[in-house]
Amino acid sequence: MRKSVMFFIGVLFVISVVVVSFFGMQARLDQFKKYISEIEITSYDQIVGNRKYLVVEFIGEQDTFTTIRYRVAPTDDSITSSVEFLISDNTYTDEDGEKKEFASIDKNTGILEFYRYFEDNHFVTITIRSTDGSNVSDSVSVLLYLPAE
Amino acid sequence: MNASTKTSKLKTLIKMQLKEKINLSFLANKKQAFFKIMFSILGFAAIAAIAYVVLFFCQFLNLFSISNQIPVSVMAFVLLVMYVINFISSTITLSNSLYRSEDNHVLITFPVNANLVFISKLVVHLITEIKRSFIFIVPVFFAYGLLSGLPIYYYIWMPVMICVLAVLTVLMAGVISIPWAMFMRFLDRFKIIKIIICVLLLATVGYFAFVLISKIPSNINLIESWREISIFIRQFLSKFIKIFSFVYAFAIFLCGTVANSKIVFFTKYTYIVLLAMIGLIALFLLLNMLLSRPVYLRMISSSFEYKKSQKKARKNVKLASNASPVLYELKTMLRQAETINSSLISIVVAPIAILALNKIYGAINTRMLGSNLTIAFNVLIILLFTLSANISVSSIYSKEGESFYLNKVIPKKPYQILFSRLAYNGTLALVLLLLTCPIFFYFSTLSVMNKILLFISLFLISLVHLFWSAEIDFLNLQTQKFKTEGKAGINPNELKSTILSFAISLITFAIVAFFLIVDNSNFFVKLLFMAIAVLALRISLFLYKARVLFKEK
Amino acid sequence: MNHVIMLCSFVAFSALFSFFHTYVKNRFQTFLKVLSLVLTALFVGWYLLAGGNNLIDATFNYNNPFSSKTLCFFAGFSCWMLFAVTVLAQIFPFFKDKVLLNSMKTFGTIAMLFPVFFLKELIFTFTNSYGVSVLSSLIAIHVGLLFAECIFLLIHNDSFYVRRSELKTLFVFLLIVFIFSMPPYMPKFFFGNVGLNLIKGLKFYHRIYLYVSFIFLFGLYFILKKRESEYARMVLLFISLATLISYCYQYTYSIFITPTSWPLHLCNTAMFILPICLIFKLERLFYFTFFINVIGAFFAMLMPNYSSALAAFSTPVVTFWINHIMAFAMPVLVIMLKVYPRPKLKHFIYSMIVFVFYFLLVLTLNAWFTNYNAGVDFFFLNSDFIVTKLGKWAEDTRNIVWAFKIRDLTFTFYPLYQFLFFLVYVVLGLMMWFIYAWLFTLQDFFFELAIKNKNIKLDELILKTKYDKKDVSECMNEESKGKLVVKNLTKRYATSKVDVVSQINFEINEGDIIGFLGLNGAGKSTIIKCIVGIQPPTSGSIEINGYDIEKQPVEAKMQFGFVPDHYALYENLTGREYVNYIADLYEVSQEDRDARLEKLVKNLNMVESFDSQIKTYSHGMKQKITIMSALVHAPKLWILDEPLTGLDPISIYEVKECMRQHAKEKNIVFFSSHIIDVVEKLCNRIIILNNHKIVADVRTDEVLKTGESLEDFYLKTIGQKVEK
Repeated sequence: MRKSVMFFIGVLFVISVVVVSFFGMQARLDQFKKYISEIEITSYDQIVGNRKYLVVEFIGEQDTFTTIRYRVAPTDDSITSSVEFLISDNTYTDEDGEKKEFASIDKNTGILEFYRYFEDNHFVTITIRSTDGSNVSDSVSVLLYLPAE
Repeated sequence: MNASTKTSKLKTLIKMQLKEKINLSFLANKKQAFFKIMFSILGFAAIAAIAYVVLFFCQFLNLFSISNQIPVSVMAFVLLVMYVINFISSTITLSNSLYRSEDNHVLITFPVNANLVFISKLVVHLITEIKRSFIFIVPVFFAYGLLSGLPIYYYIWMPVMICVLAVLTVLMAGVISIPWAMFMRFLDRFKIIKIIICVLLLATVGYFAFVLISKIPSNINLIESWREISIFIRQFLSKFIKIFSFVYAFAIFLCGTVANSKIVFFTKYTYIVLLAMIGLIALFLLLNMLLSRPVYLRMISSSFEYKKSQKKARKNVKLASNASPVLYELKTMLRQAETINSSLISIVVAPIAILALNKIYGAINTRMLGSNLTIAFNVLIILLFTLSANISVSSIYSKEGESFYLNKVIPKKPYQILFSRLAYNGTLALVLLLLTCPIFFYFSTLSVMNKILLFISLFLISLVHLFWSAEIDFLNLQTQKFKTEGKAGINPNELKSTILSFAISLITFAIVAFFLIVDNSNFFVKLLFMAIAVLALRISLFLYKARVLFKEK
Repeated sequence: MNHVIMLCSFVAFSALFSFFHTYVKNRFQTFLKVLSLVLTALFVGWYLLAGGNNLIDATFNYNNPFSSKTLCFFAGFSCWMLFAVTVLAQIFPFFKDKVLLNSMKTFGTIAMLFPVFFLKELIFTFTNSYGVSVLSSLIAIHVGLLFAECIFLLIHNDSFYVRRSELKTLFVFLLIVFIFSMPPYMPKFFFGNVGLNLIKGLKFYHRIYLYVSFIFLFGLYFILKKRESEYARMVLLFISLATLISYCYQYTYSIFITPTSWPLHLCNTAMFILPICLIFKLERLFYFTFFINVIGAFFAMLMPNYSSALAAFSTPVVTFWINHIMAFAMPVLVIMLKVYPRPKLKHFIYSMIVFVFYFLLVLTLNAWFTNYNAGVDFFFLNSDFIVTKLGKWAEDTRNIVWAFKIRDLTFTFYPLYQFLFFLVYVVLGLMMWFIYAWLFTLQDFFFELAIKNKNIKLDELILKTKYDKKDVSECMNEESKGKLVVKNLTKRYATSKVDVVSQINFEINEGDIIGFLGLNGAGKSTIIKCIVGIQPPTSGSIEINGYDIEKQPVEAKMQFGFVPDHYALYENLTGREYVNYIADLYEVSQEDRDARLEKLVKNLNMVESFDSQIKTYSHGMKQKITIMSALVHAPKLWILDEPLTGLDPISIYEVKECMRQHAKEKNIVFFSSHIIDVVEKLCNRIIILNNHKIVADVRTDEVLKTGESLEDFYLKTIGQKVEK
């Protein structure tokens, strides 16, 4: 077989694979999905170093609610559901030795809820992260503040 | 003999041998020379353009580097691949030219020193090597230079250095050619060993091919895994430049290196590589003079003949008058080593290629359009293999040389004489289809009936090309060329047949793709009828021309 | 009332015909020509009045205005016949071919019965009324005129009788008349509303139309290729006029007064240009359509600009295809059928000049008429129809706009788009030049082949006739049996101006060993090549054992064995295999070949090497194999061309013995040689060739009787001095 023919066949071989891959594949939605490139918590009072801090004050004996707000890029309604909220340092051990939560956050809406169990100020860390595989996150330390009586 | 006489004799020897290898008759005619030079420039530009486009896309897709450049390691890889192919081909060609060429018997009788003959052969080979370099390597590097914005002196430096590399190639080939020639001579003597080696080689190639094919992942998604592919390529290139650092050094020597965001050519390494090149050239030149030259002188004056064994008397066998030309043609072709070699390559490579192709397609999750495209591309690649095996038919009559006309003495109708020559290639086409189509059908979702129809259609299409190629040769016999150039002669009809094979394959691909995508109903029946109609037309035209023109040809 | 008008018209014109035919015979042809022009004017007059009548279209839908579908069909069929006979009558006086007369009197008479009997429905189709009006009167007069003419021709030209030799031509011609005069709304009547959305984008019905265009082109070519160019011109003129009528089915007078409706698209103009060129023989205008229209029509057929929601056989679709098939195929047919000569470069240049003028005209009219009708788009220069098919890059070219005002009129141009359009068309025109050149070469090649094929068939026919219609495979000339007879053989090569051999005559009988002598270049090899069939003689005949080498090549070749001056062997076969292969070709039986080969192998001393491959043989051994293969079928004539060159003495002796033995068995040995001693001892007769002619044909013993050696005789004969 002549070299030119073999070369031509080789080139067509590669072209055929490329063409079938790009034009003949089953269309999958997530191929065209936009990924979150950036996420930023906007509910904070100050930044010290590279940490964000938010102060939330207890009012009386009531449970307190606050919403942790955030911003994502690119801005697209379809991807706002690809984030989740996490909370840490929100447990305590009661007299029976059971671990209980004093603060919790709705993982989808970002609504932070906490109740007064302790007698002094306490920090909890709220982290928001993407769940679409892009692995971006941001966090804020929330100070649960007991005003002086 | 003084130096000037020696030089003049060397020049004469070189000119004489070059005239045989390269047709310079166009120089006599200004118009022809102009066109020939224009076409050569166009060919150079075409290859450079294709290389430019390919490199541009690789750069655009960041295939080889995160930065927007083609790294020199890529050109080093290209250089290595081209060099290896050139070196192997050069060794074989030089070995044949030095030790097995028929002109040795004539050259050695001239009143020249045998050393001059040896040197002239090396020089002629070098010139053809340089010519070959300008067909592919130089245009590719030219394209690289354009894409990378290399300075103007690169375009002078690069071809000169590639010519220097060609010198090294020829000298290395000159040394390696001795053991190669001895080995080939040994195999010629003991044909059974030759056959065993061939079979083992084919079996090894086949085995490794299957191993590679089985490693094809079961799920390929080029779009999603694009990043991994490019990372893999970059890692491969890093390993490559570590292992083949000398090739990388030469590539930098050729293309320069990036320092402080600038391309730098002449660093200390340039001089080191240059010295190394000169050293190697000197070394191999010495080896050629000390080893190859004496061996050459001894080998050309020895006979290649050996005592033949007594053959047992056989019986006369009568065959039917119409079947006899076909059967004896098959016998003759099957006893020709070059025909067998060429056919074996097709027979081994084609099914492996189709298997690899379908394995890859199977790993891609295709939709309807994709499935139709896979069928069409399979048809294209199968046809390309099958039709390329027919290209030799376009010199089937010419290669008989002046003896072709003696076929007119045979008491048979013209078509019986002409068609009998096509028996081997027709059979080969059928064998190739029988090897490739079942592999394609195994992976395909076509119905049994459609598979049968497609197989028959492909066979008929290959016969169309077969008869067409034969007709091209018959209408434009190159017997004179084959008479003077013998086996080395290339029939210009082969170019027409090659282009025809590409055209027929691409047209069939377009028709298959179009009808599968647009209007699928009973398509394979339609394809069969189209193939029958075209074949009938081709054969009837050939018969008509043979009947009318055979007497005059 | 319309029937009355028709009847009156019939009577009046019948009288007129009779008057001119009886009393002004010498002016009858002129009268017919004038009448044809009157008929044309009449037809164009009422057709344009009726045109655009939607009822025509509606008539042939299923909701027809007539009481039955049958009536509806006959109304349409009457239109069809009327158009056919109209065009026949128009061209009849201008062509001499008898087929027109036969068509008018036979087909015309029968066809006109339909418009006559269904005149009411016919008129209603065009006028939407059964009453009398100018239009209905004109139609009635037209019908009356045509019917009168047909009846007149029938009566005065042997009634329905047509000669047998003219029947086939008439039948084919009427088929063409019938097909091409069909109005564009008839297919819809037959096929209904099929093929919706399948008429574009190379879908089913689109492909069907494309196939039809090529079938039309090649079909018509093969039908007409053997006819004279004038006949072809007549047929093509009929087709162009008939299809023009179909194309104009919606045209009215308003088309002339509404410039924005002028048919200035390239393919539209072709419908008018073609008949004009065929009638008036306007070469320059024709070549314009040949170079520009054909390619334009081809692209239009690939990318039709009608809506894809139409039915496949709806009137607009049928009209589109009539228009474009004509524009595509007709110019090509005109050249292929030699109605016009093949274009030269100057014609190409003229066509480009005409194209420039056309382009500028259309450019200007587009810009001007857009002020009155925004949809004006002659030659697609004004709209984005073309660019939308090519992509954004093409659409972007229309972003460059140049507009200016003259009084109240705005003239808008798209310079880049329009310039590129022009350039592309010029390039396409140039491309067509090369494509045509290639097609002409192909046509010439096949034309030559056809002539040669005809000669071969003629030879066979002559042979059969000369020798009393025997089968070609039989021995034709018993007198030449057992002989080699060469009569008046002359050979001139195609590239030569002189004969290589001239008027060669000799006859060789069985038992003769002939030595063929002559200088190099005298023509010995040529004569031998003519005898064995390698070269065809320019003139003369060669008979081998009663078979003519030209006319019965296969049978003649069975009669001889040939040993050429350079052997042609299959080197990879063994000697035995090769000789058996030759024996198979000559159909030698198993017993015969066993016996002969055993003898030959022994005599030529090839026992040890016979089963080795030929590529291992020496020159002498290869020559012996060639000799064996030439003798294995025991031929009557054994021809050898310099057989002893390069052989050793023993081999020479062996070959000579074979030759003697062969002649002894009452066969002929004919060989050429330069070795006079061998010829003297071996041959009983010599033929000497010099200056392309036979200068001596003598018996060897007669020469030797005179005391002269053969060598001296030879040298004397060829004019060389003999020095003692």
